[in-house]
Amino acid sequence: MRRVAIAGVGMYPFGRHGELTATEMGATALRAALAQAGIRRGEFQATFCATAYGGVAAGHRVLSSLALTGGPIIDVEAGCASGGAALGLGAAAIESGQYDTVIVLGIEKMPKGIIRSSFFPSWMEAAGLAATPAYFALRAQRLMIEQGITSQDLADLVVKNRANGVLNPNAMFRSAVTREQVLGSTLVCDPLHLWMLCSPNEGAAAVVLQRADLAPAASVRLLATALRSHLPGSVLDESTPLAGLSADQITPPSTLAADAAYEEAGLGPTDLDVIECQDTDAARELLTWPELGLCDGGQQPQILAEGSFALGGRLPVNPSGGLLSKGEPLGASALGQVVELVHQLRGDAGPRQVESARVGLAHTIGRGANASVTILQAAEQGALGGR
Amino acid sequence: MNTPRECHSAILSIGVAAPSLRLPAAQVAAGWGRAGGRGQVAVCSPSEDALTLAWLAARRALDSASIPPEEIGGIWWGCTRAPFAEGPSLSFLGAALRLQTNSEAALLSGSPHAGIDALLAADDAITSGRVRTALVIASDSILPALGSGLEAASGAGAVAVLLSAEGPALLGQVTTQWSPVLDRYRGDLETETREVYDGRLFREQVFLPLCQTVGSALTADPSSRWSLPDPDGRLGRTLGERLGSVKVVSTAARSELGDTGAAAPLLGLAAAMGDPGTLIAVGFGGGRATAISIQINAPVPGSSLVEQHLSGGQEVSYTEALRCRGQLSASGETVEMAVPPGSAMFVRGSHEMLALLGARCLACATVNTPPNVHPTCISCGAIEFEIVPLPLHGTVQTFVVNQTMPAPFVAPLPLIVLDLEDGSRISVQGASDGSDLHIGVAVDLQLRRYALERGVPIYGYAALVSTASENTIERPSA
Repeated sequence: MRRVAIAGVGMYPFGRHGELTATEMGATALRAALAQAGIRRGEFQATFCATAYGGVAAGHRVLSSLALTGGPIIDVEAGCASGGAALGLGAAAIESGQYDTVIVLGIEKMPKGIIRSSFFPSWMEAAGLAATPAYFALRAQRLMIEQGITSQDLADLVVKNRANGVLNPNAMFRSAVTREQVLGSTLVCDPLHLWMLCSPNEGAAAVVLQRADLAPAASVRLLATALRSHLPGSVLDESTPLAGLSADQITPPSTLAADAAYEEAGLGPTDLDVIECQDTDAARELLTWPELGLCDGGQQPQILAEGSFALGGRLPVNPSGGLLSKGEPLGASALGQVVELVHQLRGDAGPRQVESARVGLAHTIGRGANASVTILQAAEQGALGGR
Repeated sequence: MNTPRECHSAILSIGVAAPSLRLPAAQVAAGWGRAGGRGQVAVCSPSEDALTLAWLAARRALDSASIPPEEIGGIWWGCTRAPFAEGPSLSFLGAALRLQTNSEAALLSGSPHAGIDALLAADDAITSGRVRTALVIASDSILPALGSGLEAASGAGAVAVLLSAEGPALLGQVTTQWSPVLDRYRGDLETETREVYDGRLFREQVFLPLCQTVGSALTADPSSRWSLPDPDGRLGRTLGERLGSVKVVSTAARSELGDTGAAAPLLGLAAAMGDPGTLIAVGFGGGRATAISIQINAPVPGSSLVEQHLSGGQEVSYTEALRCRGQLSASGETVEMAVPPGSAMFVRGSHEMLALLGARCLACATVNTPPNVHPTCISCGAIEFEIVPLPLHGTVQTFVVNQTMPAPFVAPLPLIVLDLEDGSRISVQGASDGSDLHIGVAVDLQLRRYALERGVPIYGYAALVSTASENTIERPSA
């Protein structure tokens, strides 16, 4: 268990913000987090800034604009898990005794349209083998045949998350949708329709980490952070290139990260009250549930039908509306999940509050492949049973 | 006096390939506001060209002879328009066919006579003893001038034969006649083939005299079967009558595919190679005519598959054909892909892409692919490999059909993750519209043109659902 607490959080809503720069969005989020934590200039020792498209010294620009430079500022890139990676580095630095108070920041302003990156070998792009949504669809097709998921289930997942997004002022899409509307949206690549895909966008999130004994008593505790990459040979784990081994028993990075985080936190999936997980596309979230041990593969349709993972259900997943409602600014998305969980665990999440949430888990998976899992606990929680 | 000389090599096997689209002549006529139009021509889809057709015909010839590509001593390719007007067309084809990189090779071009040129050059190499087994390929995909009569006459197709010193079919007499006249042609910097200036002048003063001269110079009997050039859909018949109402067997291929240019002479005989007797092919182009006789002593392996491999094809409208031929394209920019095709990435990766190579770990036998991005084994971390060809068939692990693609790609475009028999998993494009795909289905890989990137063709492998017959020739029972 980590002796680290989250003393304050801040966010710049995810969306499209015209000419506003990532630096400006980051400054707004950071100012809010510092104010909440009561931390001023000179009262923190280091900054870890997650960004994938921010360019050179992106974190420096944010801290410069607030006249907060002087300490170490380190940019962190780990694809969709960049925020989780930065959080882990910040927490480890505090645990090691190097620092007492650390800023973890995520900023992003993504180009519109299909994500282009330097990630795939150029010949694959030239050959049309590297288009992102197609890649998600390959995995979705496999999930459908292996775990009995239907197009309706994919649509229902979107319905669930978009319903939550209606209640989130920080979300990009704040209207509820129906299964018919989702299935009626443009077919991008079978089985994925446009509304089953999250939008790359812009935004920022900031977290102030502090040694637990120095943080305010009401602070949420950081129980575990884990970052893992794909094992060699796997093909559909967001790894490169799209070639490898035909073995299907390679443990996915999300499971590797989750197992490590559960062990570190001394608890298991049954101890969780609220989840924020990667829903880059509808199938991604349905695949994530069994990867995190939240259910067995094949149980997803029943869970959707019974509303078990909806707000008000047994284990609400993505009460924020998820990336399907918020969009995904890569560097900021994982910290956006942490911000949401902090609100949930402090009990100030407003109309989307998960009742008596005590333990929350945030999960991202993306390019690399990189998977991060973060487990948080509300303040004044008694000892957990663990596993 | 035109006295034939003798060839000395023999045909071991034959393979043919046709593109996947068919354009009815009536559609062309309607496109120009005219009624009528008889017959059809074959048209390449955006993923096909003279090189991919050549590859497929050659693969089939190799499979029918059960000869591995490394035993081929040389490749002779006749093609009016290779994909690079100047460039590595031949080495691309040789790599994709997995030939030895020190094998003899020549690309014959310049006119539809190039197919005959390739056959004769390979015969010389066999006769002289330089090469034990030669691969002769003739392929073409003519781009006809808009509004010309060629639009309803020019097709596409490929034929390949393996030559050696001995075989079931012997090349016999050959004779040539030429005349410095302007027939159909394409000038430098021109992309489309021009029609002849005056049809009657061409027929009476150029085509018929040259072809008659060479045809009548060979020793033939009434049972001889002929393949005659037929650039417009009528001249072949007229020539047959002038030669003495000879038995013409090239009509079926001509009706199915149209004029296949350099491929026409041998393609016209391909199906007939299953029956013993004398065959005569007449090739014409660039003011040159050549006749060659072939004595069939036993059915040539591959000949029984010819009819099936030439038939079929999906009918397309005139506008679709124009789009496929690149003669109708939307204005505006296409999406520029990551790197120029001449860059280091392509230079290092092109051989393994064209030949579909993997790297087998010497320590644990895991096949790593593509080799140049796997300097270290994904299973055990060892660093010593042998380069191996990957199987050209596998099973669909998962797939997706892209419904929207930025130009230069064309939707629907299937993307397939494929499990190969050697335990490797690769991703390829699909060659169909994807409606026939499902997880677990067996597919074969064919060389296809993935894109034209900054004017340069990019080739790779595309998957097609296996047919029983393809499986038969891919895995000879012998």
